Amino acid sequence: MKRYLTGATGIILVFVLLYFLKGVLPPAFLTEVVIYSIYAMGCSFLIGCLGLTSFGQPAFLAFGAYGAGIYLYYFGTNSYVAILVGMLVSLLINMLVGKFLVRLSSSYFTLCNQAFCVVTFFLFQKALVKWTFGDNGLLLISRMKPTPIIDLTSSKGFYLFAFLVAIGVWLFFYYLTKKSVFGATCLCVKDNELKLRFLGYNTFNIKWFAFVIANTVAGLAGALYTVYFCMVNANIASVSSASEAVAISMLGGAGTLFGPLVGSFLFIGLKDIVSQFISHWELLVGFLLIVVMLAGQKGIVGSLEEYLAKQKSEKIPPAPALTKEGGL
Amino acid sequence: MTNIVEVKNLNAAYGQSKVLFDISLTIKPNERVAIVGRNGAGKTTLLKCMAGLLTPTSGTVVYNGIELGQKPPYEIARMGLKYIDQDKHVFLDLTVRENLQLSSYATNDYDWDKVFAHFPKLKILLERKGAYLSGGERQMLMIGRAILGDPKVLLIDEPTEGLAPSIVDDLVTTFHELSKDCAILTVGQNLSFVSRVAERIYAMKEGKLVAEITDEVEIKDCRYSCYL
Repeated sequence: MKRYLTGATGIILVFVLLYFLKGVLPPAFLTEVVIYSIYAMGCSFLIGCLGLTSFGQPAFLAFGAYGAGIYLYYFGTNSYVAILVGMLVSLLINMLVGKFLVRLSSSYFTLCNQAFCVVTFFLFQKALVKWTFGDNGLLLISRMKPTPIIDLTSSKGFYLFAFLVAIGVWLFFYYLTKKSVFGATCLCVKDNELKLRFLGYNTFNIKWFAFVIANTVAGLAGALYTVYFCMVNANIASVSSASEAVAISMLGGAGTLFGPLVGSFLFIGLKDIVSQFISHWELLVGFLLIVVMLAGQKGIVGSLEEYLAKQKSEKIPPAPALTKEGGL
Repeated sequence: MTNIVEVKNLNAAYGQSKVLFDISLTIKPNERVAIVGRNGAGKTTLLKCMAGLLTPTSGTVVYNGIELGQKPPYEIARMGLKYIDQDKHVFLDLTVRENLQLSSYATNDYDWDKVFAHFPKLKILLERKGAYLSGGERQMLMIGRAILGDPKVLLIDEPTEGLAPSIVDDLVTTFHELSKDCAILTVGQNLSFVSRVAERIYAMKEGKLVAEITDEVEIKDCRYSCYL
């Protein structure tokens, strides 16, 4: 319980501090960081806890984004409902697609996700152009009306809302990965799936459920993206951005709680700052990623956690001597 | 006494390569049975077929009166036929406690006292991560995990591999105690261990069962080695 409170308190504290950075850094930048970190959270969970690398994340982002966008363009004006619709659409698609994709492992899973991303891009750009307007996209600024409690049409209101959603997502993943049996089973799937089946677990269901959770969170990020930018176009599902979520996860530390946040902060920061000086800002991100991977392979947060754990374990006295009566 | 496991005319293959030829064997409740044979004789393949990890090309495995057919391994494990493989792999990132919790959750059996009764050492290792356990400790944890849920049969593959002689001695006692609650089918090449543990032995050669040894003296004196 104490650990839980510490963890939950830590999460809230980090986001509250980040929230008040708006005095130092532009709120638009911080909002983008938060949306990207939510997007990368699902990917980080898949890589770090299940060992599944997906290059199809833009597709899952796009379903959430288009779910919200189509609702706002054709059916309603409430941004809260739009976000919920985006998540629901994403959830349904993930449940269906996941049934097929999680049957695959390692490289096949990665590549088929990327193929799914290509299909999704084509779907929104060409096949459904009558409703999505392809590359021009859906412009929603005149469709959205102020919402009660927190007005999502104002940048201040959305900034607060994005942080509240992020806290919710982080607490959910904290509980899921650190406190639940499901989180432990996910780690075991990564470690040795077969052994988990010997214990009586249906590992297909575990992977499917994890896939649905991870990508519905990406869908949530997509819905937030649509509401924040008041538009959505087919480029959101572009396969050229497929590596972004993976890069952010790896940079911050896949499977760590704050890895996606640190990764997003660096990624968006480099994109915004470096792109002012050089057009190919991706070069720097690429080099940084290589350096971080060579230094620790666990990303910035992962390496830091490892270092702290090492320091802690050096202070712990060795376990008591084991007697013969212990058996074996 | 009715058999708890009956394997009838089992054939299995890896692709085009046939590995098991018409295997038939039985295990009675609380019996300790061993399969001995050289490397590549098909011992592990047989256990894998029984645990549902490999689909036989023909033949049946009947457990507790139910034909296992093509049931997935997790269902077979839930039915009470547990497989412990030879690689001594526990979940490295999880502590002993978490490893046991995982098994408890799958079987809905939270009575760890029976685990500690067999392996008191696990009690003081509860907070140690799987990665920091010795080979013997891992074996204890694997068996400990398997006995949660009160299985009726344990299939244990090469339990002594890589273990020190003193640990092997303890394992003999453990197997005798375990068989009070469930049947054990073990496979291995450590004949001195097998002789001290098994009540009945099947000798296996090139994918076939070539002999069944039930005579206590023959087992004790390792006379079955002539079949290998």
